[in-house]
Formats: sequence, C-alpha cells, structure tokens
Amino acid sequence: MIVAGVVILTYGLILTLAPAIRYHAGLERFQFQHWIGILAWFLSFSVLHHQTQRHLPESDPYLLPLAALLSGIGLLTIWRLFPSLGLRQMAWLVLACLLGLIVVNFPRLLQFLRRYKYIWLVLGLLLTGLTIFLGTNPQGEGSTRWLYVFGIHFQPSEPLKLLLIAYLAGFFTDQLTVRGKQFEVFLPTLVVTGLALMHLIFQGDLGTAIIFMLIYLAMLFTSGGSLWVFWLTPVLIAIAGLAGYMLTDIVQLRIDAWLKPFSDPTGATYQVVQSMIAIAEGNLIGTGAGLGSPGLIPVAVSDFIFSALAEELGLLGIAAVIVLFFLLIYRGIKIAASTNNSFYRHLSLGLTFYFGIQGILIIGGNIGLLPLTGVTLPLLSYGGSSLVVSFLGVLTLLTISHQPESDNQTKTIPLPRYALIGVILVLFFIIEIIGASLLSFWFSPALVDRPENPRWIIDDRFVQRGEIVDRDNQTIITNTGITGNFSRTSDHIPLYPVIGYTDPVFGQTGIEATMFNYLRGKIGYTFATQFRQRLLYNQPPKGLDVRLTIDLGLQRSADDLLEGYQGAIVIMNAASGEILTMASHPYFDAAYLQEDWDTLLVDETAPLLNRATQGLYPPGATLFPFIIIDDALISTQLQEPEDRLTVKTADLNCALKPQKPLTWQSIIANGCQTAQMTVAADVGSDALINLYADLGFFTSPQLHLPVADAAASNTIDLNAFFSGEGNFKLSPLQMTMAVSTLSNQGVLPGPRIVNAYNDPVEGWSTLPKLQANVETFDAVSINRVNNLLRQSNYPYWQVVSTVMTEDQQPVTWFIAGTSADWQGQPIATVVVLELDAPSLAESIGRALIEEAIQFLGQAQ
Amino acid sequence: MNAVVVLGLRIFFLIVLYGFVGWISFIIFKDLQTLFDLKRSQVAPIVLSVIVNQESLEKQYTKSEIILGRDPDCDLTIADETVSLRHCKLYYHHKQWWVRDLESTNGSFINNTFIESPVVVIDGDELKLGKVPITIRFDQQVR
Repeated sequence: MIVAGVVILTYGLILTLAPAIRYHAGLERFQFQHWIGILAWFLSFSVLHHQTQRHLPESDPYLLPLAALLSGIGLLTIWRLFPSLGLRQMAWLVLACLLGLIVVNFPRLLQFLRRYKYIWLVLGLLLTGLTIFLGTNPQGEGSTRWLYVFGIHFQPSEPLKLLLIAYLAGFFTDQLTVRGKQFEVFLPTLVVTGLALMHLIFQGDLGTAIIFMLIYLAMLFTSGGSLWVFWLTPVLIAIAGLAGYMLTDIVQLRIDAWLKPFSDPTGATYQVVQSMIAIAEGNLIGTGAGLGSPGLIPVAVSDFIFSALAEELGLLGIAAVIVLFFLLIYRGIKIAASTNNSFYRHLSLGLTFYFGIQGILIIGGNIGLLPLTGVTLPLLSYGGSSLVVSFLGVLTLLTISHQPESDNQTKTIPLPRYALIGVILVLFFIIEIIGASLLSFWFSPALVDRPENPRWIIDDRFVQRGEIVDRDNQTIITNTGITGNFSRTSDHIPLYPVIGYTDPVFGQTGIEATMFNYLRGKIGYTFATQFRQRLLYNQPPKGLDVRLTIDLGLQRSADDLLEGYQGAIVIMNAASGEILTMASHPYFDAAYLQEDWDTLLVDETAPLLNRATQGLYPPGATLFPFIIIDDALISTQLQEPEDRLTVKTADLNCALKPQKPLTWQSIIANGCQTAQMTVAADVGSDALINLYADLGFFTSPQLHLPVADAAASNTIDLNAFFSGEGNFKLSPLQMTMAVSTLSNQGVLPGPRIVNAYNDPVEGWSTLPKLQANVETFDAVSINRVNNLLRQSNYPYWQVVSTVMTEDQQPVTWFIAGTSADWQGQPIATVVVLELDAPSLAESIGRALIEEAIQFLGQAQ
Repeated sequence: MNAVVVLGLRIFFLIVLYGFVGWISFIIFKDLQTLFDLKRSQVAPIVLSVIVNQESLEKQYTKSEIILGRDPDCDLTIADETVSLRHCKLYYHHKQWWVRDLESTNGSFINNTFIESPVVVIDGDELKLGKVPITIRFDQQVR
C-alpha cells in the first residue's frame, strides 16, 4: 500500500514538473492542480484500507493496493489529459470508495445478491431497457447508452455486468445440488443472458455484448458444464463475428480496420493507427508523463487510455500495468479456490473473468491485436459507472476472501477448470505484452515516420525551426511567438509559392517540405544530441538555418515588376545553376492560410502553385536560338533571311515587329514563329528531339523544390516540335536552364535553390546539388549563336515570343542571357506572362537582367 | 536541469512501480511454491482394491479427495446395487486419511463398524460399502 502511494506521488511530481520542461521555463509553469486528485486518492484509500483492516482482517492483503494503484495511475493520466475530466473522475473515485465502505462494513449484503438474484437482475435489465427510451449521450450525439439522473450521466450496462455475474453465480450454486448437466437446466441462464445480449446489440454496445457472452461461457464451463462449452467458445465468437460482419456496419468497419489497419489511416482506421503510433512513440521508457502528446489519440481518456499510458510511460510502464492486471486475476482465482462457499466461488470467478476479459479486449484493441471494442479498461479508464462497478467488484472479491472456512459445502468446481481459464487469460496478457513490445521496438521507427503521425506539428510549436535566409543571410522566413506557440513569419510574402507553407491540416509544400529534416534539426546534430533531447524533453533540438541562393534585393525587384500580373520569373547564375530569383504571381500569404484556404483552392489563378517550377507553358518562338545551334549558315550570318524564308515579312508571325532590313538577329529576337517553323522543318524532327532532350526539355529538373513532370517526347505532336505550340510545354525553370547553356559555353547547369545549412558544429555547410552540370554543346557553335544574337549596346542577348496555349490563352516569353564575352558571372533570365504583352515582358526582363548584371555580374 | 530531475523521477517511478509488481509477484511465487510442496508431500498415495462381480480392481490415488459410488462420475465406480450413487468419501486432512459416509442408503462400514461421523483409516483397514468390501493400503515407499 505504501509502495503504491510512492508510485502515485512520483507520478504526480513528474506531472508537476513536466510542463516547465516542455516550455523550457521555470516555476511559473509548474502544474499543481492534480494534487487535489492525489489528496483525494490518498484519503479515500487510507480510510478504505483502515476499514478493511478492521472489518476484514483476514482478507486478501494485495487486492486493495492493486486496485488503488491502477485507479491512481488512471486518475492522474486522465487529469494530465483533461483536467476537468480528472476532477470528475476524482469525484467518482471518492463515491466508489464510499460505496466500497458499505460493502466492507456489511459483508452480509452479498447474500442478498444471491437470495434476490432475479429481482436484482430484472432491475438491471429494466434500467438498461430504459436507455432505449430515455437514453442520452454525454457527448451529445452518438449511441444513447447513458441515463441522465440528478445531473449525472450513468451507464446502466456497467452495473448490469455485476448483476448478471451475481445472478449466474447464484443460479449455478442452486443447480449444483441437482448436478444435472443437461441442456434444459441451463436454459434459464441462457434466456436471461440472451435477453441482455439482445438488448446490448440493439443498443450497439457490441463490446459489452461480447464481454457478457464470454463471461457467461466461462462461468458455464467452470460451474461444471461439459467440455464442449470450452471448445464451443471460439466457434461461437467466430460465428458472432461473422454475423456481425454481415449484418452491421460498425462490426464490419472494426474488423476491416483490424485486418488491414493501414488501409485507410485518415478515415476508418484512424483511431487504431493513431493508437499504434502513440505506443511506438513511447518506446522503452516513454516520453515521460506530461511530455508526450497522447491528446492526439482519439478518446484517449477512456477507450485508448492504454495507448496514452504507453506513449508517456513506455513499454516498461504498460508492461507493469498488464502485470498488475494479471496479478489481480491471480488473486481472484486464488480467492475462488480458497473459499468454501459455492456461491462466493462462482461470484469471485465471474468477477475475475470480468476484469480479465474486459482488460484483454480493450488492450488488444489498442495495440491492434484484436478488433477494437469500445469498452473501458477497468479501474483505469475515465467513466464513472465503469469505475464504480470495477470497485464494487474488487471489494466484493475482498469481502469473499475474508469468509471464514465453512466445511459444510462440497467443492464442486474442479480446480483445473478455472485454473485453465486463468492460464488462458494470463496467456492473452502475455501475448499482448509481446504485441506492445513489437510496436514499441520493431515497428517503432516505421510507425513514428508515418505521415499520419502529427507530432511534428506539436514540436513546431515548442521548438524553433531553422530560419530561411537569402544568399547574403538576410532573413526570409523566421519564427515568431513564444515557446508553445511558435509560428512562421515571412519578410517577403511574394516568395511564399517558393518557400511553401506548413500547416497542421493542409500539410507542407516548397522549401519547408523539402528541407523538413534540416529546419527541424533532424539532420546535422549528432545522435547523442538528438537522443539527449528526446530523452529529456521529448523534443527535437533547435532547427538548423537554411540558406537559399535567392538574392532578396533582386527578388524584390522582380516581384515589384510582376505585381498585378500572372506569370513567373526565374533568374539564374548560368554557370553555377544558382537560382537568384524565382517569382510566381499571384502569390499567397501562408500566415492567413487557414482563413483563405477555401478561396485559394478554388481560385482559378492558382496562387498556391509555384509557376516557375510547376507551371508548364508552350515555348513558342523561344526555341529559335536553340534550333540554329548546329546551323552554321544562319549562325554565322552567311545566308540572308530572304534567301531562306519564302514567306513575306508580314506573315512571319512575330511577337514584335522586326526592324528593316531583316536580319536573323532581329527575326529571332522578335520571336517570329513562322520563320522558326521553316528552319526547324529543315533540321528535321529526329534531330530536334535529340536537341531538346540535350536541353533537358524531357527531364524534370532536380532541386529542393517540387517540379512539374516534364513532357515526354513520344506524346508530343511532331508539329509542336517546330512551332513550340500545342502540347509541347516547358516550365520556366527548364527554359532558364536551357538559356543558361547559350550564355555558359554550352554547359547545361544543374539548378540549385538551397545553398547551405548552418551546421551546429561546422557552421554553414554547402549542400550538394541534386543535378550536376552537363557539357551539352561545343562552345564554338554556342558562341556563334550567342554572337549572332548579341545587341550592340548591351552585354546580353534576348528573345521575345508570344504563343497560344491549347485552350487559346496567350503566353508571352522573354528570355535573355549574358553575352559570350561578358567578363562577370553569366546570367540567364526568363520571364513568362500569362497574357499577350511582348513589350511589357521585354521591359520587365531587361530591367531585371540589367539589375542582375549590375549587382551580381560584377560582384566577383 | 529540471529535465534531468524529471528523468530521474521517471526512472524512479518505473523502479518503484516494478518494486511493487515484483514484491507481489514474489509473494505469489512463494505462495505457489508452498502450494505445490504441500500437494506433493502431503497426500499419501492410497491404494484401494475391490472385487466386484468376480472381477478384481486395484487403483492408486494421489489426489486428496476420493468419491466412491455407483455413479460413473465417481473416482471409484462400484457397479453393485447395494452401493448408492455417491456413497462415501475418502479425504486427506491433517496428514491422515479420513472416511465419511455421504448419507448412503445401505451405509458404510470400516472394519465392520458403521460410520456415523468421519473416522481415520489406516493401512490394511477393510472398508465396506453396502455389501462390497474394499481393502485400503497405503503406498509406504512413496512416503
């Protein structure tokens, strides 16, 4: 008893300190509320213990401490989850102890149970029957198994268990003098149990129904029913299960969820999966009371209290709880064996079976070993009726254990029979311990990493994530708020389509998603640090900052210029593939994601999309410079346009009108689509497909961002290869990489948006590129094209093009790159506008590439 | 700092919890051990030999309670019409075998003395159910 007290005190103390650790704060976060519960627990059990010692000195000395410990752990766990429910559970506990006092003081009461067994049973059945008409549900909806009396919700099926056990015990005792084993003798019990079962099934309380059936069969067997009862039990359960599966949705749902727990982890199997994840989180010694997040498990206080315990106390904690249960069963059977009164023996056996079967069913359901049944874990779970009844059960056992030996009744139950049932119950508990250990060790990593595990969201609120900074370490994304309430804030909102959002409901995108492990300190820290943080705080270490290749100044200019239009801009260092600017308009503000989500989703302009990597546009006449790479006649200007092109100038279909006299430079720079088609047809489709493949048009770029799948060459119309229209589409990023080859001696750069992370020991450490640079073309042909396109007064070349999409939406491209003889860092720029505005695209693009050249080209 | 204290408390909690579990388990273990010891040492094997319908039958028992009668469920079934369904009971109590009549029709006799209240039986006694004599012997070697 004293040991139990120490355990509860320690638990309480941990709960007091835990919030302070979680918040990394001091005294002000200590939690003291639950000490009321501990005090009530202490008082109740001291009185009860004292009274038992006085009135039942010969009674079993271990039962009461067992029950006290279990209910104490239950009470504090409930308090830790929901303090208000804890307070109510405490009130129920005190009430249960008071009722217990009556039982202890008047042990003769038990005889009344036997004598008036029919009256009691009918009363119980009537009360349960009332729920059909007057039933309510404390949660307000769902099944109506409760009665609402004097402001208290009360579940009559709980005391019915006790009454049924008492009735059966009484009945079997009376029948035994006859010693008949015929079926007719047991008919009345069958009728009564059947009645109770029918009622429960009608109410949808199938878990309790199964318990009734099992208790009945077990009692029938131990009272001298023949052996076939024993073998019939699994058959009956199978039949009942099958019938339930066929007839009721809920049983079907539960059994399906049991057989395939991961088939629908957000819907039908949500509860089981969450429960299993919680057990996996617990590992060996648990996250520590008050440090885990068992609140994430649905109905954690009653049905899933075992999983809640598992998360915070770990495998060792729950193994102890299971052992406590089977000690309880052992003592129960022991009492049954040692009493000489037949009625008491049956009664104590029935009660023992009740604790055992109900415990096994719900624990098995929690760990996914058995189908889930919505019953409580006796003594531990929240629920007044259940707690009171469990207590009365324990105290009845206690009273029976005190009965003086009376030798006038014969031992009629053969010991091996109930020993056999006892062994079966214990075996089930052992299997459950094994099942739980598999979850906590073998399957733990897989379960913890499941996408359904939402614990990282809690961690995000308690631990600072890494900042996201630009190439000069200017903050883009940082954390605001205090511990327990951290959130993300952006210094440059238009960048959100690239950075992405993090939301408990909608998930993650962009850099936030791809750099998840760095931003949350899962990579970079040593195993020892990680382990220490988990062990002490159950939190990851502070996140690591991530540096992007974005230049915030240039990015701001790009976003200012693009403001009000739909489109995308990518500016890239053509040599290194570093993305200096990536704009996508319209954009969204992740800070108001929850409020705006519904509008954002249906918005036809798709603000959530990162157009630069996920938008696909037909390239149109921007393909021209690439088509002539191998055409020495054009690129060296040996052939005049008039000689090659048969169409008239007016039909060239240019984005901007080319100046006279016509030169190849002006035709290409102004996006003359018909001219491109003529030249492309000469090159031929096979050669073009090879060229486009070399430019990476058919492969998705690899970088730390989600990208759209590249077009597959074999699905595209041949004509589209010439015109750049139709179903041949490119993302702005792909185009930027291709443009880079023209300004970078024919090398196709691998793109890069994430530059480095701030390692806790090494400082800023560069992350490798996901895609390497590839030497694609020989520099001579590339530089020929570059020279052909160069403008007289500017150090860069450019192409403007307009094109129609398949659904007749205009798209304007502007592509530009530094000249071959430019001494600074080569720059590639791509602007896409979702409207027909070549002049606008040109002015935006020119302003940006000039700024880029000015600030970065000479920055070396 | 606090976190380390709590870690210590968590471990302490588990240790105390297991102390509690271990303590009760230990007592149960002891309990079971004495129970088995009792069973093994206390019950002196008893051998009952009887001649029914010219057929000799000898049976040895190690359990602590033997029911004799005509009922096929009895430990020793004697198909004789002077024997009641459940005729008498031999049981081990305080290290001695006792016999008690179960209110049989024709009565039980030990060495031709009618049994009214439970009496102690010893090696070589003749127990008579109705008209059927049964010889009682104890297996001394096992003892």
